[in-house]
Amino acid sequence: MASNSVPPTTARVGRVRLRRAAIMAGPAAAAAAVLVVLTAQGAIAAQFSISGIPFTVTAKQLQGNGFEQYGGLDNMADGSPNAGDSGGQEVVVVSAIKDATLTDLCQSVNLGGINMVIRAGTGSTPVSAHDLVTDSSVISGDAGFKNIEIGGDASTFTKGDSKGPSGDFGQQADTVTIDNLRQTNYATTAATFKLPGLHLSFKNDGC
Amino acid sequence: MTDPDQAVTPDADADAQADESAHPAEPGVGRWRAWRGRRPFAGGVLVTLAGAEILATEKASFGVIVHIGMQGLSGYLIPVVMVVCGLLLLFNPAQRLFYSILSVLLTLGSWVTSNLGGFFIGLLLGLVGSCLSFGWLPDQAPRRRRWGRRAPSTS
Repeated sequence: MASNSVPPTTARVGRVRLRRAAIMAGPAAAAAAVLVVLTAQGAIAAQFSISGIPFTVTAKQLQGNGFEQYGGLDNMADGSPNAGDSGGQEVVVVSAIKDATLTDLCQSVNLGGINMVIRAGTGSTPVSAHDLVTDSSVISGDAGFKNIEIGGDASTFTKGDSKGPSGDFGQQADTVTIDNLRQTNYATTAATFKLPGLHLSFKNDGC
Repeated sequence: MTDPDQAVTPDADADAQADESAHPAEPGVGRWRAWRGRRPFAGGVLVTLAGAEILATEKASFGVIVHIGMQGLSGYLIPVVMVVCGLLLLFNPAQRLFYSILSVLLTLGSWVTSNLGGFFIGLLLGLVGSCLSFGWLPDQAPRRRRWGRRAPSTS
């Protein structure tokens, strides 16, 4: 019937025409290259929000303005096998730094077997981060604070631009300096980073 | 870059394509190939995967998103719209130009807003997928001398 008009050997299906695809591929690749270069020069800030995958940040030194830290409660999904006898709730520590500069930053993300390693700020210009918020983390390093207030109510904090829940124990400080920072976490990290001297690679081991 | 299987068109395909509803007993494989042949299949799948990959790398808790505000929200919005674009490329191929241009712009934006484009992987998938969708044309002659088609040995 209908196949008479379209002989089987010349059935027409759609396909990708390379020349046509190249019309978009050229400008798109160029734009991507420009974005990468601008990021590597620190001209534009890249935004991160990472959770649920192992994520490590190390830096030789972190200097921050507007530091706040307070506790919080995270709820697990209903029936989560990790809930155990905790009732599905977990206490987390939220650390927020309004503006931070990091030298010799190394971030590694475990993507199941292979680590993606981002290095930046190794040159003369350090990495700058804005609104660095870490939710439930292990932070180690040699820390120094200036004008620290320990034991304030988290909802009254003024030094950063974050506010915790009312009645929540917390601490805040004007500035924080952490040498040999090492932060490993499986929970949330979010920040806007300017990454001068960006170097991106895939390696077997992380930072 | 084109899927070689897509070019394999056994006899059943022509029928299925010409009048699909009249052949309910059509072999499933043939119908599947015909369905793929009518849409930018590889491109749509890649764009969908790219959006999903970027989404999978970022699962910030709601409190943190609220803290970051609009920028934090855009980190999610972009991969979600990428997934939508990829699915629309598959299920509404007539509008593929708009969807592919939108998805290439979103893919580029995801570098800034969403974990460097899902740690580069989503960025690559999205760019390749958008370009494949953009370059896709329906109703092409089955034999192009510039790229050899695999003989239909599988059927």
